[in-house]
Formats: sequence, C-alpha cells, structure tokens
Amino acid sequence: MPGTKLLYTALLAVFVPAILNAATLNGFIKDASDGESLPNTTIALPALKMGTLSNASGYYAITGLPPGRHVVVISHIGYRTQLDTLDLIADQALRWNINLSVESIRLQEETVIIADRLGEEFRQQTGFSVLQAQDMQQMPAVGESDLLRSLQLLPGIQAASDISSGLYVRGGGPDQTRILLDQVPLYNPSHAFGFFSTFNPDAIKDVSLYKGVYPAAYGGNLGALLDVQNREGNRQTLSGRGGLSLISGRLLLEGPIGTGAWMLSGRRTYLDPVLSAVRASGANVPSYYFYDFNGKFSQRLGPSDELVISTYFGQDVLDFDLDAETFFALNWGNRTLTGRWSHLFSPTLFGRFIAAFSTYESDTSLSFFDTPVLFDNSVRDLSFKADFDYYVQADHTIAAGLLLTDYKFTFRQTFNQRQQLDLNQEPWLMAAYVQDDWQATPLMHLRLGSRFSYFTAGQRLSLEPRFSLSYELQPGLRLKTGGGVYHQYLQLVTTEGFSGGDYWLPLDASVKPSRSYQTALGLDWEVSSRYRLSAETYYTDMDQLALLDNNTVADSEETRSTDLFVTDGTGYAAGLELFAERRLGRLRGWLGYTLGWTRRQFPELNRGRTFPPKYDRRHDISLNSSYRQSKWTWNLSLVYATGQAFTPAGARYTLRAPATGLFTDRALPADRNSARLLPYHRLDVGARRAFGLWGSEAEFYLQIFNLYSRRNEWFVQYDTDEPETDPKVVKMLPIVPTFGLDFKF
Amino acid sequence: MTHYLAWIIALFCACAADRQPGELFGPLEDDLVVVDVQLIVDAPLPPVHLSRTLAPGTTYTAAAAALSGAVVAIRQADQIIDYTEDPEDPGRYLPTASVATLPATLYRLEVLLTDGRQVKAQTHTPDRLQITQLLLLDEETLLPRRELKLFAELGEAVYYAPENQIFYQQGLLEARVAEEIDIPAYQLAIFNLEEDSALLIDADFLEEDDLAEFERKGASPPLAVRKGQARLPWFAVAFAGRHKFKIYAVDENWYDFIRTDPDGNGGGFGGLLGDQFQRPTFNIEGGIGLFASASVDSVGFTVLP
Repeated sequence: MPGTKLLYTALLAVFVPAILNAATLNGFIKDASDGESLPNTTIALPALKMGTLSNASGYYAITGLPPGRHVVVISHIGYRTQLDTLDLIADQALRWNINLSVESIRLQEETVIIADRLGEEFRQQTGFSVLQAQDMQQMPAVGESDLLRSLQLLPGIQAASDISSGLYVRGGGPDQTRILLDQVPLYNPSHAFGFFSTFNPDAIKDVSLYKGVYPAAYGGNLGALLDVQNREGNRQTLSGRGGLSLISGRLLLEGPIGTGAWMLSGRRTYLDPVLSAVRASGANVPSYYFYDFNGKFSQRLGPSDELVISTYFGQDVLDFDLDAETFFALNWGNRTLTGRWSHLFSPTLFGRFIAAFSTYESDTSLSFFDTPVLFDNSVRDLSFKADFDYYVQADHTIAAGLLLTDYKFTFRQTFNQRQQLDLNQEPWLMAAYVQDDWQATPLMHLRLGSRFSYFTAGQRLSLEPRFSLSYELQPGLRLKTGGGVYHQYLQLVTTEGFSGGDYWLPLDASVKPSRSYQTALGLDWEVSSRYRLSAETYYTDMDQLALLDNNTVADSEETRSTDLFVTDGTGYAAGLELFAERRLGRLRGWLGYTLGWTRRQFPELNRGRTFPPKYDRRHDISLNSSYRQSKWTWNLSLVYATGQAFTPAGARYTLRAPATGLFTDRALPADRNSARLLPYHRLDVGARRAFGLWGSEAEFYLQIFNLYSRRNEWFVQYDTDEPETDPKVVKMLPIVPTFGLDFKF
Repeated sequence: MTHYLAWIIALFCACAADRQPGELFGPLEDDLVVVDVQLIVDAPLPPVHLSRTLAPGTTYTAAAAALSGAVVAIRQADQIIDYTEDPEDPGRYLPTASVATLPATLYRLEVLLTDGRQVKAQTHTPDRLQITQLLLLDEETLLPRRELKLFAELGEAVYYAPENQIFYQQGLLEARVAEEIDIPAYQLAIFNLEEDSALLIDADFLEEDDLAEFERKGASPPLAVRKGQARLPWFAVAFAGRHKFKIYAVDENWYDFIRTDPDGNGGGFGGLLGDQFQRPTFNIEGGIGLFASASVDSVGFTVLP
C-alpha cells in the first residue's frame, strides 16, 4: 500500500513537530496607541528562516524553535519594526505579547503616518484590497465620506449610478458580494435608498475586500467578500471623534474598562426639520431620517480568554403623506448582536467562538386612492460559529471552522386587503472548512482549503475547494494566483439603480443554487516602501444563475423560487486590473484601470441570446490622490468608465391592450442591453484644513462632487405619445458642493 | 498642482460628447409583421389586424404601417374560416362567415403576405367564466354589506338598481365566479361608460395635467382569482357614473403578453429605471403581436360622488 504509506508520511510531516524538545513562541500583537489587535503582523526569526503571521485576533504562535538565543523581528507596514533577542529553553512555551508603535515617517517637512494593518494578506492573497479608514475619510464625497462609495473607486469595482452605493465587483451584481460587519452578515448595508452605506466611518477599524477567490473560511456568495471590522475601543484612554456634515451628525466615544475597552458610536441625519419646514410651506416632500448605532465591549478574562460583545442597529424611516387616502411609508433596517469568545487552548491552538444574531426588516405600506398595498420582508440569521487556528509548525498553520445558521425568511404582499404572497421559509445552513496556510519554501506561500456546506432548502450539499499561491520572484515582486468554487443559496431582489427596501429570499428546492468557478492570476510589485504596482487578471465562470423575473406575477398562494426567478442562467466575467499606488509622501493615492467583460445567458431572456448586464464596463479608470501641505490636505478623485448598457428601441408598432381594446403605440425593445449610454466621467475635489478646537484636533472640509457638473446618463425612456418616437435620457447628479467638520479628542 | 488639475479637467471635458439624433435607437427591426387578434369565447370570431413595424426614428402612421393584400385564415378544429380585407380600413381583415368562438378549442391563425412571408400562431380558448355574485364588503370586517344585481338578473337595468348604487371609496367591491378554471391567470378591467361624468379624484398633490391623464378604461396586471373572489381596487375608479367591471380568464398567449408588456401594468416587481423595457413574449411564428383568447363575464354598477 504505497499510497497509505505516503499519506502517513505526509501527515507525520505536518503534525509532528520537527525538533524534539522544541520551544514555542506565542502571544498577542497590539497597536501601542490604542490597544487594537493587529492581524497579519509578521513575526520572523531570520537566522532560522522561520516565521508566521498573526491571526484575525492578533494572535501568533511559532512552534518547533530550537532552544537558545534568537533574534526576533516583528514587522508590520506602517508600524515601527521591532527587534528583540529572546532566550528560549527546551520545551518552553513562551508567551510574548507585543505592542507595536505607529511609525512616523518624516519626508522633508511633512510627517506622514501610514498604518497598513492588512498589508500581509495583500501580499499573499490574490484579489485582496485594503482600504484604510483614514484614506476613506479623506476622499471627496457627497454629504459625507462613505465606505462603499470609496470602494467603488478601486479597480474592478463599479457603481450602478451616482445615487447607489451598491458594489458591482468584477462583473458580479451586488447580490454576489457578501458584506460582513464584525463577522456578521449585513443584508442591506444601505441608507437613503443606497445613497449612503450603513457603515459609520468613525467606527471602522479595518476594511478588507476580497474581489474574488476568497478563502475557505468564508462562503455563501458567488463573487466577492467585504469584511468590515469595527474598532474595539481605546484600551489606553478615553477618547472620541465625530463630525458634522450637511446631512448628519456623528459621535464616537471609546475608552478602557476593566481589562478591556468599550466603544459607542452613533449617527443620525438632521434633515427632518428642513423637510418639515418645506412641507409647512405647502410643498409635497416626504419626512425622512436614518440613524445607526455601533457598540462594542471587550474584556480580557485571563491570559487565555477574551470576550467581545458588539452590536449594530440602524433604521431608515420614510413617510410621504400626500392625501388622506394616498400615502407611502417605507422602513428598513438591520440589527446585529454578536458575542465572541476567544480562547487559547494551548500555545498552538487558538479558538474563536461566535454567536451572532442578525435581522433585516423592510416594510413598505402605501395607499393609492384608498387602495392599500403592503409589502414586508424580513430575514433573521441566527448563527453559531467556531474557528480554530492550529500552529502545527512554523511553516504550517491549519485553520478549521464550523458554522451553523438558522434562517427565517418572510415575504408578504397584500393588495387591496387580500394577501397575494405569503412566503415563509426557515432553512438551515451548515458549513465546515479546513485550510492550510503553508509556507512551502521561503519564497512560496500556499493556502489550500475546502469548504463543505449543506443547505436544508432543497437539501443542497456543496463542496468548494479553494487555493491561492504567492511566489516571490525577487524581493518585492510576487506572482499570485488562486481559484475556487463558490455557491450561493440566497438571492437578492433589488433594482440596478438604487437599493432600499431590498428583499432577500432563499432558493428553494425548485431552483439549484448558483455556482461560480473563479480563477485569478496577478503580479504584485512593491517597488519601494513608497510605490506599489500590480496587475491581475481574473476569469469567473457562472452557472445555475437565478435572476429576478421582472415579469413575475406575484399572486400565488404557494410561491416557489422558480416562480420568482428566471433560472438556469450561465455567464462569465473576465478582466484585467492594473493598479499603481503611491503610499508615502505628501502626494499619495492610486491610479487604477480595469478592462472587463461580463455576459449572461438565460433561456427565458432575450430570446435565449447572450447579453451584457447593465454594469458591464469595458474600460474603467479611476484616480484618487491626496496632497498634504502643512495644515491643508487636498483631495482629488477622477473616474472614467464606459457607458452602461441599456436596451434601445429597435422599432415602433401599434397593438391593442387586450382587455381594454385601446390601440397603443409602442416601442419595440431591441436585444437586451445592446446599446451603450455615453461614457461616464466625473471629477471630485476636496480640501481639508486641520486646526485646534478647544484643545482637540479638528478638520474643516469642503468637497465638490462632480466639479465640472458632467450630467452623466442614467437611463433612457421612450415616449410614443407623438408620431415621432422621443427618447428621453434621464441624467444623474450635477455638481454638488458640501462642507463639514470632523473632530477628534 | 494647478496645471495638473487644469489639464485633467480639459481632458475630460474633451471626452464629453453630445448625443446625435437616432443614437438612442437600436439595430432597426422595421418591417416585422404585427398580428393583433383577440378571440373572446362565445363572441363572433374577431377581425384580424395586420400591420408592420416602422423604424423608431421615422414618423409613425397607421396608414404607413398597415399590411394589405394578405391571405388570412383561422382554423377552428377542422373548419377553415377565410378572411377578406376591409376595403374601408387597410390592414383590417374580416371573417367571411359569422362563427362563434368556442370554449376549450384550438384555433390556428395562418397569414400569407404578398411578399411570400408566412405568419402562424395558435391559441387554446379557455372554458366559460361566470360571475355568480357581486358583493359590497365592509372595508374593516370584509363581511358583505349587500349583494348587487347581475346582468343575468336585470340586464342593462343593473346600472339603475338601488343595490348597484355605491358611493365612491365606500366599501370593497368583490365579484365571485362560479368556479376557477384551468388558466394561467385572470385579468380585471374597468370601463366607465359615461362620456363626461365628474372626476372623483380630488387630491391636492395632483396638478391639472395629472388629472387630465386619468382614463375611463383600465386593466389590471395578471392576477389569481383565489377562492373565486376578485376585488376591484378603488384607485381604478376615477369618474362618477356607470361602470362595467369585466373579469377575463386568459389563455397562455394573453398571459405571456400582459405580464411581459413594458407598456402595460407590468408584473409584481421591478419595472424601474428601464429594467422593464424588455421585449414582450409574443408567441407568434414569423412576426410579433398577439393572437390570444379569453372568456369573460362582467358586472355593472353606478358610482355616486
């Protein structure tokens, strides 16, 4: 049985420490300024050519170290590299916690501070992007800075319109991107019909985006993964930050408590009094506001245990009372509550246990001349999750985990006091993954993993192998590749223009879950600490796609997925992304270019022919830069993209409406999305000036969205009331100047 | 920095381009044959309207679109009914014999154009539909307040029966059919039979132009008539006076067209931002249009201001 012998040998090689009497070095790495954990920090012993990275909780362990004196180097981009000498004795497990200080880099007369907490993941994982919270806050925006809108400037990510914060990543729709806040899914991360996202910029600690080929620890969506980590709170001192913009005010307070920290942040719009005054003058405007709240509380329960409790809730409330019999009311919001317990079973086995509760509710009620219509949709996600990191050897870290989610979906539609739809589903999702991070050679890092999942609706069992490889061709120059299989059991019901009142529905036994096969290949060159260049190609093949059927007759007692969606779709997305970044200096920023194609094909749509989705863009260029000069910071963002696809009219004809017999002049739609709107381009600029405010730091900002007021095209409507068919182009936002104040104490 | 900014603005302004006339039209699909025929069970076979599509950038007139000189026939089981063109109305073809449309029967349309093109379509007529009750329900309890008279009882006099006089937006009007039949959907339609009765809608938020757009005819999207009950929404009633409320039991072709028609009421979701401007499902071989059938019954009542 040579095969069995080979397997046995391989297992021994992985699981048995290489050196008898070996020592283990382990501990937590934190930011010295506020005590926040630092994931993906490199801990290296150069003389032994051994090292590892800290995990998501900042924990690291290196096993198999020979006894003796060793030089240890702890490095993290943006932090001062720390060198220490340690004496290890045989069989010792040395707990060594490290606090890293942010590095101040002095360039000429300017001090520029960069902290790149997730830089190592960027080096190892293809398709990975990082957005610094401080960069996000400096980007010009409409009203106030917004995470999702900032991400739309990265190569490979599109926006559907000026008023949408939806992410269209690498040729996928917003439903194909999983959005997590502190490991909990957010089902509608938007305020104000998608104009803003639910993420309060003050509360954000780290943002990591896998544009594709995300690792086995995650699952559930065909395309991308956005993982937002909120701040844990300042463990050193009481501090705060906040801001006032034209539309909202926000405040974050944080500080130490016991053996941990706390953080509370809130944001609310203050448009209500303005709208109320406008209404009082007789104009028909709705009443509208949104708010959100983030809270986190952490306690270290001992040297091996930490408990973190976090919550988020946010709500959008719109009321439009037009008349006694005609009104429109829309409320939607997310709520999450998460408990996380981290436990160190041994120096080499780290565990995280999460119990999370996430709900999303959307209620729409309207009355049109005394005819009431109600829609309500809710998603409840109750999840239990366990993740383990096992530091087998210095060059092997095995991660494994389990997930159990109890979903509850409801979707009801009532028209004229009669229930037309009443969908209730309570499926379970069970998933398990295992992944090995293997430093195969000093130059090659491999991540091999697989995810298994079982969804009770339709009894779907999926196996999803994943891999990524990073090979250092020469110092700073890496070749990265990756691939994987992904399944999606939940389907988002939304429009491509704006989000708000979106619905999530599970795919039941009548429809197979959508599936994608992703591959990516890229070259990443860190030219210096100042410059980084990358080029990446991707190809995603999709099948079993489901798309909301716009022509669905939502009037059925037993609605199944096959009634709501067009199914059996196939598609692909392919592209090339080029990215150049200047990370240090007075002038910082990036230039990105994407060349992309994406296509869909459904037997029931477009007479079975292939078509591009609206967000298919051949070219997309974005430039984002900031220039710091004394107390001033100047920002500039520039976007150019191929116009979005739309369905043009190919002919005109007359046909009676069958029930009324009225002859109706009509435009005949040509092939789906077979024409293009004019190219989209926009220049946003902003200026910020720092000043002292009652002993605290503050910044006043002025931002101008769409500086040259380019009226980009949004969609086309055809008017056939006159003998000449009149196409009307609806345009997007003109120039929008805004100003505000941010402060920190 | 200033030069850099100016250069970028100039570059992007240069990229701006204005639309040329006709750019917003797609690949031309003019000269497609358009069929327009709706068979109603128990009614005589209807006329066949034949026209063609015209390029969207040209001036559309019915005369320019009419298709004359075609050979038209409808097959009803083994019987062939030939059609001849109406000399008064080009593109309109009339049956040469008066034949009633049968329920649960397959009909085939055959058209041969002068240029040799052929158009074919078929429809299977639904069973008969019968409304057995018309009730005025209480909006809160949904219990019947009173039962209205049907055409079967009073004929055209229903419009003047005391039971059939209802006040605008008071109660819910519900028609009940004898039994559900095997069809994909129903469609409701409302017809105000007056020519100049008062507009009942009095909403401050509507401008005069909006009020002028209210029509005296309207139809619903495809619906289920669950438990044999069909309710009339008040927003469908805009004018005072006599109303005819029709329930159509529609065939597959009718259903496919109204659920996919971007000019109609649309389906349940979507329809925003041009998403719904997609080609309807026609079920016509060699052309576009509608060859469909339905059975229908109606009730009458008068709305008082």
